[in-house]
Amino acid sequence: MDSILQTLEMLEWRQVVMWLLGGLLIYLAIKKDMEPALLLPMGFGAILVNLPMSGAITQQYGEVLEEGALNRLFDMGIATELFPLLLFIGIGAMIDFTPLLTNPKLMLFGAAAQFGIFFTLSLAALLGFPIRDAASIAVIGAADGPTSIFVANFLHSSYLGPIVVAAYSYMALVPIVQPPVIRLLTTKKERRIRMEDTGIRVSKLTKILFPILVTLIAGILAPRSAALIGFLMFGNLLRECGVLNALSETAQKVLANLITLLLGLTVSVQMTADAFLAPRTLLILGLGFVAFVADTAGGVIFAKVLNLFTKHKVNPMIGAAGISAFPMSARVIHKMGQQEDRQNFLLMHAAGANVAGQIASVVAGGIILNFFG
Amino acid sequence: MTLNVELFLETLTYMWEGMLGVFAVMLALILLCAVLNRLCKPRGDRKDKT
Repeated sequence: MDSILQTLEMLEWRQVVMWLLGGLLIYLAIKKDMEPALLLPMGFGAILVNLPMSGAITQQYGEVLEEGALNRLFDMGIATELFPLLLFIGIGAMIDFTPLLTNPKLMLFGAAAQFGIFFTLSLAALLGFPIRDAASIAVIGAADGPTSIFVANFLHSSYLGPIVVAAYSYMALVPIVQPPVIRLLTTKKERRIRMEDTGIRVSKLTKILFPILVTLIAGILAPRSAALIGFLMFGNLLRECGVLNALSETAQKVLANLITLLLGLTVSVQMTADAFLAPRTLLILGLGFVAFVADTAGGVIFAKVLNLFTKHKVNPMIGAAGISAFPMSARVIHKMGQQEDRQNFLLMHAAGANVAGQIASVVAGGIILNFFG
Repeated sequence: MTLNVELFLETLTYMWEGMLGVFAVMLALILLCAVLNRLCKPRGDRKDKT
């Protein structure tokens, strides 16, 4: 009885706030279907690590330091960067690069939509974050959870928890964040622009060579991105080679689900009340929002500029699909196109820009590591 | 909160160089796709040409 009372005495109001926050994440995952595979374990983990003297995390009992299971998982999976990299194999196996290979110029939109990363880097630096933390926060704009975790951990950012929460929350909120920005920057006429099929057919050999050559090129031009791009492309090679279908399916389903589950639970180590409930957390969430808005704006404006010089006009909304949130962003753009013109089918083009964004976000992450790693 | 203008100005160079770097890699990949699409055409397409 005494020990129960002793534990209850240690309970702080801030820990109760974290329970409520954990509950909110679980609610959003179940009721709103917002990235449930990640937000649910994170929400549960947030409750678990904020129990007074929780045995799930490392605690000091007198002179004895007892290592918690979640800290051990963190050291093994996130501190070593293994979880995000393994997740990339699964993501690579899920991606079909065909829409991009039939219209390679969509790569440019993937590049343009990384503007949010570099814009947020400057903004975070202006707001007083140390440069490595600013760089980690900026990578929320990659719209790519594993890249955010990889970079933030690599740069030893003390804000890993808020960064991951922001990255995954805004990815889930793409259908809410992107449309107003796109409408603000485009006219109705522009949103009705139809895009022709290039008529290019892609051979199986191209699909096999693509992941190998991308790894070579990106690895040479941005060496720090080699691990990220390499694991992503290895997953894609599993998918496209045609002789490892069982492995490809395992990577897409079992591996990706398992790692996502462990990642969500393990990241919650960074969600202790002391680390999370700080004014800077709100600032990071705000900067994450700015990063997503700037990504969208960067892609749309680039497409509009491109239209000034090209004969075959591009629907500027495609530029917004250049972020890495796959396939939500492509779906949002297709739906917006259909709202303006029922006969306008933008899905393939938007999907191409979206997978280009996947590659570009990893490259941008690698460049950030080159600068500050 | 104090604004760190000095660091902000320093990061403008990173912004410029970073975007340039991403575009350089993606342009290289466009070139790669163009070469691959030209050299590795699907069988049906090759027959049409001949």
